[in-house]
Amino acid sequence: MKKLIGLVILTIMATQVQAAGFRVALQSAKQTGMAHVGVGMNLGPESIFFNPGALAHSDRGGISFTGSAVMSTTTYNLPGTAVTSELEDNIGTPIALYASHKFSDKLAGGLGIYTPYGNRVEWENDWAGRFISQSIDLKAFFIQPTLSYKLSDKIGIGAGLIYAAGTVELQRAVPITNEIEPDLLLETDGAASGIGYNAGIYLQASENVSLGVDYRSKIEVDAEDGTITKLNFPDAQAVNSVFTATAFNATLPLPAELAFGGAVKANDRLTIAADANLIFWNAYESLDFEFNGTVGGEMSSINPQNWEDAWTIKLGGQYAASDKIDLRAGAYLDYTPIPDATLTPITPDSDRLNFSFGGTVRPSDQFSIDAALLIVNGEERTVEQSESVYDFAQRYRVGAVVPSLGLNYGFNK
Amino acid sequence: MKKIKFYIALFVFAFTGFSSCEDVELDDFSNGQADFSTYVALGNSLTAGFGDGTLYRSGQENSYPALLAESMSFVGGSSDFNQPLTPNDVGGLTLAGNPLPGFDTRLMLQEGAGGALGIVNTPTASSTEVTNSVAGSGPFQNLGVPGAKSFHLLGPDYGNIAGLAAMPATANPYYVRFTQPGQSLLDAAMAQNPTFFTLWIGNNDVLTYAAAGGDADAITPPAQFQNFFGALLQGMTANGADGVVGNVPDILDLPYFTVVPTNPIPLDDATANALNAGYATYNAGLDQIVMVNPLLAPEVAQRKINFSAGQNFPVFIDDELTDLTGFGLPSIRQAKPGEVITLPASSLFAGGAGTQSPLSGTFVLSINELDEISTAINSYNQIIDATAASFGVTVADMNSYFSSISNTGITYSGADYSTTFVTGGLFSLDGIHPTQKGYAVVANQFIDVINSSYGANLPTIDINKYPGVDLP
Repeated sequence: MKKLIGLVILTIMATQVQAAGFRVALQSAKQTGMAHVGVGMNLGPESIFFNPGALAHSDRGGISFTGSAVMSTTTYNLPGTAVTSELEDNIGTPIALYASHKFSDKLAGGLGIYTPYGNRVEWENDWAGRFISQSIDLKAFFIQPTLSYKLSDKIGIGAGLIYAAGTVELQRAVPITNEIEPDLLLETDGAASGIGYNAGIYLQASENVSLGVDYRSKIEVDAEDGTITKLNFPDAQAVNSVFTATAFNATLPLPAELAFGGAVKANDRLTIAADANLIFWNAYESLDFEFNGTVGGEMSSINPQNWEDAWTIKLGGQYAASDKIDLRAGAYLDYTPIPDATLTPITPDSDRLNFSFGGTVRPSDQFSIDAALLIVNGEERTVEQSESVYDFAQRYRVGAVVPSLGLNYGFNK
Repeated sequence: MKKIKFYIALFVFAFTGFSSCEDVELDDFSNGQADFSTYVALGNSLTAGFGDGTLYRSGQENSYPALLAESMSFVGGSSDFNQPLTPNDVGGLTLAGNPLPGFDTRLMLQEGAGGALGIVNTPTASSTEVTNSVAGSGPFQNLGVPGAKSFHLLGPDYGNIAGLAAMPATANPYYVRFTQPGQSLLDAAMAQNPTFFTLWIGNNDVLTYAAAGGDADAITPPAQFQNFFGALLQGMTANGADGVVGNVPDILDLPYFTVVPTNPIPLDDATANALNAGYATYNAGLDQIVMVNPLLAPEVAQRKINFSAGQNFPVFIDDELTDLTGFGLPSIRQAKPGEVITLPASSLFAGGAGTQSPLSGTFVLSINELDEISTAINSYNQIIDATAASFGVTVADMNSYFSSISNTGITYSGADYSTTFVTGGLFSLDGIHPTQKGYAVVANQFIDVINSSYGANLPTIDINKYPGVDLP
């Protein structure tokens, strides 16, 4: 068992792009089964992520773990050609872990460790877009200690402080010698961290209706003194004299998010829930690197992004088939924040219509197991070279199949 | 409960069925009105895939006809495109085991002292033996032969090994390698009953002259070119084949003619003065000639040699000058603005050529010679247009296309390319022929023309898949 935990932690943030932009919406296997709704629901430990305001309304503390396997099926075509490409090493395994405790009837607290952002996109060697991106591996995890207070039987509030940390590794080929094999790669590596918060309000409007609002702040993660590595470069001074940089600084915004949700118990067995999330991606204006030397003769690299705020709209249902079995299903629209002009293979993206289903089995009152399957279904998207500020023609079919497994343990009241 | 299970099963079926695992869809490729089932390419070095001063295997494998054939294979073209491949990437030719003069191994870059890049021949010996015929593995769909002029495609003895020994040679060693005895290149093409062809010929009809500084070989007279070109198109279209012909680019835009500036020689004051002292007798002699023959005054003015601190024009032997050798005055002058010094001269200046001794006229194109070249190209291209129109064949305007590339370069999938020598990525180290990447650009231009003139939609080529210039 120890060994297994070690493995899981090693791969904790190796996350494929699973939601639009570089979000990861896999914070609970239970909720993933119903379109990842949950802002307006009283969930238990997972409320640390979805809405800390609901945590105090939970009738007991517990531990909840979710592991997912993002199996990306994203494919690429260079428009006008028969050239296609797919992703290498296309499985990512994000996890989320929450533990909560009821200090009193009104006060609850907990800790969440989760991965709301991540991006791992590694294209085939020598692929058509290698001068834009060969691979990215952005790993960001949030640690969020949280307190929640039940103001009344109807209203709960909660907030948590987020410490975000992560690493990023980018590789791109350099078109300077025109050699094909091996390609010259520039590798950019850095670690970064930042601070933010997650706060929410939960309203138990009636016995059957609940509502919630949650806001997660923007976090600027600064990478300082990251390393730049030249791979497979020729010896010629003519080349190396314009690639003298060994270190870089960069800042990446992890955007704020505002989420609204509600749930209705239609009857004893059926609950319907919906969420709407607005992600403030317009914070991502440019990805700029400053170098301590030259890269292709330049002291910095300015990469305009100009992303736009984007919504996700989710609808899910949960059906209590028996005391021991819940069944869930959901669908959601996940709009891309990336305009055509700045779409890149770093984050191949399109509007998505996703479907999910899942269920829970409860062998005992304290222990339960969740399973979910999410089908990410991106609309085919084409950008011509003339439309792209990176001069890259691209057509993607974004997709992923994501099985998730959840384990939950509820403490005795 | 049963009902629920049914709904879930339906849900799973419906949503996994139409979503997610689908691959990206390619464009709808189509052949339009053209039949690409048998494609044959006829031409010169450009068609053969020649680059870096030689014909070598990967260049052949990525020749523009091979890339076109690959593209055509998506819309009914044969996936077999047979070429008279050389054994490896060393290039060069041997005849009876001995290196064939003028057919050296592939050019490559070498880093010298101080990081300066120089161009040298691959040191490995060539293993492409001319007498080692590959005709048995024919017929070949790529009938491009490096060095071929328009009339060579019609010559039945162009591959006859006996002609290699003639002065000047009447055969081409590259064609000797794969000819069927007594078969012209046109016959070799027609024998395959092509449904589609490309013909790109005419460059060498003027390039061989230009590359020799206008002092060797001759420009094919346009009237003759018209006859040859007509015969070629008559043959190729005899069985109703569709096709595209490429016209002649402005060869004077090639790096071979643009890399060396007209005033390439840097001098300091002292050196300039010393050189001027050396030419004082020549200059004084010219002054005396003018006194005898005032009509020569304008010529004498441009013949006088004068060096100064800074960049200087080289002295060269100009056979267009009035012959004054009887007066002890050699036919030399300095090059002047607007004239062209060819790439091979670049390595000679350090040895005193152009200053202490005159540069051979074979490295300089005078204004007159440049005019002849431009006039010939214009005539050829008018002939190509008119002849193609009369045979119902489309012209790929490579002349305009090359001009636009040399003006603006190309950006493709995040990489910038230009016609700049060595660093531009499109021209190989001989300064005349494209790199494999350059040939992919050529293939895409042919594809664009085929697509628009035959209502086809052939897939274009990812030019970044093909190598440019290798840096050491």
